Amino acid sequence: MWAHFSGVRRIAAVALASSRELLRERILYVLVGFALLLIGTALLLGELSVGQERRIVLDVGLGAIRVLGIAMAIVLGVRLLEREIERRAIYILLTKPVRRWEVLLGKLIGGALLLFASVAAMTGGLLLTLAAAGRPWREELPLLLPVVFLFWLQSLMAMAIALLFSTFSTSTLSTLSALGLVLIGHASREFLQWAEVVRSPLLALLCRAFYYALPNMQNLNFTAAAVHGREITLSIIGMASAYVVLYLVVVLILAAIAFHGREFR
Amino acid sequence: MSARSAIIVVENLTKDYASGWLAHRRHRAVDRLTLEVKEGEIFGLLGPNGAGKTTTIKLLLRLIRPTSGTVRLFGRLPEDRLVRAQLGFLPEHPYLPEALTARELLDYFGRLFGLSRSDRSARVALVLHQVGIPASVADRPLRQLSRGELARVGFAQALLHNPKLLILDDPFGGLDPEGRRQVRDWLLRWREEGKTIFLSTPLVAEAEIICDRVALLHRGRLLACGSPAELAPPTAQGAVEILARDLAPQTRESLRARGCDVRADRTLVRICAPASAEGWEAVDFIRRSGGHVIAVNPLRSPLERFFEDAVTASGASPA
Repeated sequence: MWAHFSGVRRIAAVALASSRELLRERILYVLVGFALLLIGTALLLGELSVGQERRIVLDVGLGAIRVLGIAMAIVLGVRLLEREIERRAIYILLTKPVRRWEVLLGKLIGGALLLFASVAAMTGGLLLTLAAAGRPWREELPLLLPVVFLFWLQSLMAMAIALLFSTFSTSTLSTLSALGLVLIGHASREFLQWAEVVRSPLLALLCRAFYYALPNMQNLNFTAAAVHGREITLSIIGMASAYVVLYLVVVLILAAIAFHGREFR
Repeated sequence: MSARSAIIVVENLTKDYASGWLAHRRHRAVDRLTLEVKEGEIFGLLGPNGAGKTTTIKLLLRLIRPTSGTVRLFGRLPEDRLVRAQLGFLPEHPYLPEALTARELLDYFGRLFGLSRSDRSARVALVLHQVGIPASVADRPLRQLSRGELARVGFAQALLHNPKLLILDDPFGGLDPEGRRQVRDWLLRWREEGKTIFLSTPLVAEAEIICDRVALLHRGRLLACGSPAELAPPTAQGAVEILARDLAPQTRESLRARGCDVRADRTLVRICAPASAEGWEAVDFIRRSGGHVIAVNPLRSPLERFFEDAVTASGASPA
């Protein structure tokens, strides 16, 4: 039996159970519902600004998907693990023949699937709003899909960071820390610019270290391109995806190290 | 008869917890514990709350790391996946993912053990039946289940993969007398099936009934280890409580004169005899005097008395 059993199956089992659990979280529906409400509101705003309906709907709609997608990722990312630790349900899981890093990876995959479904639902809401505004939504698809795909990657980074913090911290601290890191990540380029202007080499090194350590959220935000009808090339999507995969690998390795050493008193 | 192999071997196991801002204070939760659990026995780790029982179990499962000493399960390290595949664990309060149903949870754990879909389906149905969870309860989210039902699901997940070793942290905790009797029956049946059972409990009398061997733990130290009969021979009788009704005042006075403690409320009289011989004499006397005996219960079992004596001899008072 064991010869045919691989870690992939165990990771898939954890992923399935995690996405099932998260699917029953009320907060998920509250956030998706709120996002859809915001996207719907864009229709009203669009009507108020003659000739700008498309721009307003896309601006507000994509903004809602991005912000609420990240919020969802942080809240659910912390819940993936920390609640199980706080309620001591993790004791039973860790006595099963599953490695700790497999638990982390499985949980992240389960969360990623759910985030994907949520982003897809919110995108559906945006397309419906465009249709209601009388826009040819099919024509917008080639522009919108790459943008929301990159939003999903952004939220995955936020979820992985939340998961990392929850391997060694409480749920409140993990949420606040992940939120802080993601917010600073939206201004990570500033650190690179500071590195150019500061005189102290040590400070410059520190600024560069921050730039590489922080999640570069700006590189994954192409709202303006979509709004102005500029196409996002495959090479951009490929580069952005490669960056996210690399970042996820590093964060997961750190999380696995922290989780491996954690004692459950 | 061939010698049974040791399933659990613990040598000089010590666990210190650090506390304070600079982690400069040390609290020793388990102190140089050495013991062996043989194949096919029910082994009880006994002691009051705070004795170090749960810490010992967490060390056995590598949920925490020892400060010093070693643990071997089936001759291997506890974190070895081959070990995990052969053990079932029930924590003190079985907290389970409450959004899942019992069936979903068991199916999930079955996947972690590599059971095929048909095996999972069969094993899940079997263990749910064994612990008395009907289908209507098995398909409800765990957050809707009562404490008793959750305890049963806890046992079901420990049994799911038919493990050779069961580690149960306070399996009688929070159960009513009927629940305890049922758990006792399960444990005896699982021993008959060849499973080795390591359990912890503060209920010495409960363990005395079912355990082949016990270890008495107090403040992290092993006070004694052996079979209940070796440690406290059944001849060492304990105090007895008699519940009676319709006792005349002079009968109560006579019982007090015989060395019994007598307390009465409006309907019941509670008589505590210092030893069982005096207890049975008191029962006869009550009956002869026209009183009605409702129940006779041992107040302290021989093992409980042994435990109290051992704690006193070690220079510490029972917690």
